[in-house]
Amino acid sequence: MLARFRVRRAAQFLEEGHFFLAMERLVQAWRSGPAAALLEAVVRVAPHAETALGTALRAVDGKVDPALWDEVLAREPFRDLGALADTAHRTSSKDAQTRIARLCALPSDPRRSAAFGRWLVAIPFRATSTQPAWAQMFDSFRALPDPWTLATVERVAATDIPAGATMQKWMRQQLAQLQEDLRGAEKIPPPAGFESVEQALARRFPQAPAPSLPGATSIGAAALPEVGTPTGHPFCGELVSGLRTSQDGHFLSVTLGRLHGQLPIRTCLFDLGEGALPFECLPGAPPLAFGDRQVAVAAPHDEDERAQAIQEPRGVLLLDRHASSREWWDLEDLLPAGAAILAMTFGGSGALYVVTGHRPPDGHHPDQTSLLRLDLETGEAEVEWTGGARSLRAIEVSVDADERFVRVDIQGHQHVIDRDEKRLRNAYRCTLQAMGASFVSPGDGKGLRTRFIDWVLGRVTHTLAPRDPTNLSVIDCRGARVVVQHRRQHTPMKPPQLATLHASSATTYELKDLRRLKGDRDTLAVLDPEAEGALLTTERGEVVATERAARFLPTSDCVLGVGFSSNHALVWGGHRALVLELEDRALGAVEHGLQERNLLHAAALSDDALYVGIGKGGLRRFDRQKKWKSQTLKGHRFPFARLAVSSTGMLASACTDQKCNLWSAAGVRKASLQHLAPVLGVDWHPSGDAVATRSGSILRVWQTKGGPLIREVELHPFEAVASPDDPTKASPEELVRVSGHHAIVWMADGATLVCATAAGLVAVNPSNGATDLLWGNAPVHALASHPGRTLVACATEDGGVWLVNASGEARRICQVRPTGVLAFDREGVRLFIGSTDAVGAYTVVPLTFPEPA
Amino acid sequence: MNAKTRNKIRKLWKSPDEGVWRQAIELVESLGDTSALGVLAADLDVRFTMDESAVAGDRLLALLAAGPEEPSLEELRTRCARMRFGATSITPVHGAAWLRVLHAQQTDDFDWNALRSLRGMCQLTLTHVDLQAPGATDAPWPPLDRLELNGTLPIHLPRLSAQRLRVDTQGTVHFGAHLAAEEIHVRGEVVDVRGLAASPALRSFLCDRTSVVSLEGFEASKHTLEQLHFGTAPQLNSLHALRDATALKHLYVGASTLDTLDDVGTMQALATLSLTGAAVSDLAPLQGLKHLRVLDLRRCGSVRSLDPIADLELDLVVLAGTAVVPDAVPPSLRHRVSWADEPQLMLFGAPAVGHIRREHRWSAFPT
Repeated sequence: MLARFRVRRAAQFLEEGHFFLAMERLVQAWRSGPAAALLEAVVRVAPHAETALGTALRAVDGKVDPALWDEVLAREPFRDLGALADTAHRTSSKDAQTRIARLCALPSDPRRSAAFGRWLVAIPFRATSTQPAWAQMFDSFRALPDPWTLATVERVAATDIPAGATMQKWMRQQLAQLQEDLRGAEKIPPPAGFESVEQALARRFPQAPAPSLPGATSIGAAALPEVGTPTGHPFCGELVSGLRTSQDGHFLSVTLGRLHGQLPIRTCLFDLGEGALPFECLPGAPPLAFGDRQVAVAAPHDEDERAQAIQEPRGVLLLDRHASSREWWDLEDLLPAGAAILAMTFGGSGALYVVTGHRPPDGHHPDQTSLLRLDLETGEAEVEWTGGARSLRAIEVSVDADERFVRVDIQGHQHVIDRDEKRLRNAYRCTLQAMGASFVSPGDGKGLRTRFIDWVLGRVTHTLAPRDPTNLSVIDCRGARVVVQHRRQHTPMKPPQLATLHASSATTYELKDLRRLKGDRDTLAVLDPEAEGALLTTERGEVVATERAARFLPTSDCVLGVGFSSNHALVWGGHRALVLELEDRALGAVEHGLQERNLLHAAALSDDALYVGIGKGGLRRFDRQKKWKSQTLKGHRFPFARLAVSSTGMLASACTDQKCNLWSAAGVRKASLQHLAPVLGVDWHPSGDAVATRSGSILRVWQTKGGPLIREVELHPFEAVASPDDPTKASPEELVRVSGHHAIVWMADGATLVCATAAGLVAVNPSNGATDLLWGNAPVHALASHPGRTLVACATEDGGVWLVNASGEARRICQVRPTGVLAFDREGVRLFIGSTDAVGAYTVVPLTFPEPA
Repeated sequence: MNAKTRNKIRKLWKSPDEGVWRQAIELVESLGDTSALGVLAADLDVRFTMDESAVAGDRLLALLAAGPEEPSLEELRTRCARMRFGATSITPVHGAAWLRVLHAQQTDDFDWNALRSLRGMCQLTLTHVDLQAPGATDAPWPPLDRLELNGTLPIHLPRLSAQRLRVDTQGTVHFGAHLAAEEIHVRGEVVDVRGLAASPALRSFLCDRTSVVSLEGFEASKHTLEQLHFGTAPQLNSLHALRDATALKHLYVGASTLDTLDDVGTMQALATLSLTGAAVSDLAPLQGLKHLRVLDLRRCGSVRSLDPIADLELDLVVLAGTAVVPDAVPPSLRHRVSWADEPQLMLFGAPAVGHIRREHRWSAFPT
């Protein structure tokens, strides 16, 4: 009753704009019944209810000064708790632990739970030294069990934990215990009358529609979505928690962890022979098996149920790539009550072997596992073996060539089952990894060598030769070709190496032709060594791709820009830039991949070279003719806002050091164009004879040769969107957004300059300096000019993307939330759009409609 | 007792000041009323879970000693490793017949007489144990159902009787005196087993390591012993004491110097036999063991042939580190052999070995 009253009051306060009072009521209601919807509502209102100190705390970039944090905690611990919790980790590890302890001492609060939950999901590496802090957080969860936290904990427990073995084990135990402790809070409904709060929230804080996810799209443009239905790129900025390929190399599955709020955990399935798009996106990380052009997925039947009950699948979904069919096998009648499918594999005859597991309800007996054989031709299914297990986690299954013996691996304990005699044939403890057709037990990096194991007998058949370094471990194996890696403790891994196995004696293999693979350090798995390019996943969950394999995973960083030359496309963001071939106007194989130590601020691509602006004034040119040899161009001191390449191959570098330099195609500086504030926009005249630069509301047009100023135009009447206080310290994402607000482009005819302003699009006639509002009454966030027609594309604050012609007529083409990145390809056939929700999601929009008259 | 007195007792009892709460005890004593204890029961729990000083436990004991009748409390934990607080001494419960379970830490002034006076005690756990301390072995201990001794020093077991005996020590363990037990479980190194001659009902003996040469002392339990587990027994060269052991089902002798299986061949009930690292070569004595199911011969480098045991109905034969080659395995055993280094024998019927260190269990080869 009280909760209902509080919720009703909260809705009233929200309507009246008293956010603090509304939040107070919602927090009270949450404490009496911690429903997930209440938590989300509080988190949404909290930033608006904070004091100026809390806002200041949130606004701090990077580490938060301990004095400021302590001051906020001392003054307004309740009001600014959201800001305190959200910024507590932005300091040294030691300080963070102190802050967490202080937060945990406060009464239960949804803002604290939300912040802790987000850390649990997002903090990628969990050091052992942080255990006390995590324990305190978990205790704070236990103080008031709520369903949102339970869901978060379950999700984290279902994925890999990126940490060392000790911490991983500890974390697993803690999460399992926590799940048990929070189990009582499974279903807490929001209090009656909560709809009024939702309505008030929707009116007060309208949200732009999120992109529909999971979407079967990729930056590769093999299958274009329809206009108006943008979908998210599934990889950018997310943690990849699992990678698997089939033995024959036909299939790849990628499990994506949840790093950003809107994106759920999901698994994408790729057919490696068919291009860059996943053919199936599955919620969660269900057990999978790859067969001969078939993939079996453990999943409930109903699509709705699949999204809900993915934790306990009791059926098999068979995806047949031969027949392009989907078939459902219901195992409900065969499985014991409460049992779920844990692992699957295909036998040589096409039969499917399924391992199920369940925990007996009395709690005294050990967990039970069963082996089930499913004949996909006759439809017969039979339970072939049942045994106890210490755990129902980390279970794998494999079958020998004759399908007589089946191996069930339960956390490194191997159970070999004799199907003919229906009995346990062998059981032993050994960590086994399936690598191609072989099974390898990795060495420990010290004394124990990597061993190849015959899993039926448990016998070591081969070891790596003694003269190879002992810390060399096979991490993938396809026939005689293997990928090896130095295993070390406490130091980063070396890049993996590709080698050939030679039998040096009856029981030893020797490694020959060692060749280093491109890729990141800390590599955990290599999936496609035969293809002269590999997919690598790092300890931090990023995916690095080399050469051909890269088409499936363009980049794991947030994509901040796309550019085009005649035959190539450039995709860049974070630490990486990729030059991709254009195949039939779609993005194809990677020709050149670049990974920098520092973050990229800007990049541009000409026919001859790739230009990259890194860190503070580092401008580098990579020459295509000279095998992408690097050359440093000196002349700037601060981060770049934008790089632009002219039709003649010249480069203009707009920089926050108040200069825009012009460089010849060979990388020689030709002119330096001066402004009195950071230069945030630049664009070349289509002929390449003139260049326009913009700093704040000042627009200047310069002649290319010698660099004389032709025209200066004041855009002040149109109110440029304010730039941050000091753009020289802005992050690349922020600079891209700011430069989008200050974008200028020449129309294709070269007679009009179009500028982005707070009022909309402004057309400038460079010959007389006349300005005119071309279109719109909303701030423009991004701008791109069509290469052939007098047409520009712009994106507005509300997420709309518009096409506008020279006479100011406009047409809305789609609704996303742009990052400040829009780009037409060279033919002007497609427009690439960046979207914030999916962090660098790109949608390819074909221009199939007529140009505005 | 009226409500006023009850409130007064409660108020006095809650005080952190020792002088004050002792008044509550005195009041209980003067009343001679058992219901006063019930009044304090709820408060006792509260006090007992608070992280205060050891006074809470002492207070409890003082109260119990003051009580005119036997309290219902059966289990008592004095200050031990798991509790940072608790009673500092068991002296107040001297002679108590109601105490069934005692967890105690041996301190310098440990009251051995009080321990011996606990007539009703069934289970005793003694940590930081040092049986060389004065008074420890002066007189016999009361018979116990279960005795657990934990420490870091060598333990010379006194004359005692306990159905189940568990010893965990960093030092050595001597079963030199007259000792009667049914189950013995030792985590540590056993250097003397002669005292076991006084245990005719011994059913199970498990230990990490032993430096004994022969099993003199086990003769008495030859017909009751079911399980014998020596994690590592580098000097053991004879099982003669167990010849014709009719009840022995599970035998594990790790890293021993046994060179013949003649004595093993007489143990007719044997179901699990693990002789890792032994110097045996001839398996012929095992021919008669019709109940044998699991045979573990890891690192028995002299074993070359399985022909003598080809007719046995074995479930698993582990051959890692033997001289047997896969082609030499008799057809009847072809699907019964394993070459794994760490076989999981328990899945084939070997019993659990509880608290023994990992490197001395069935699955691991002893180092």
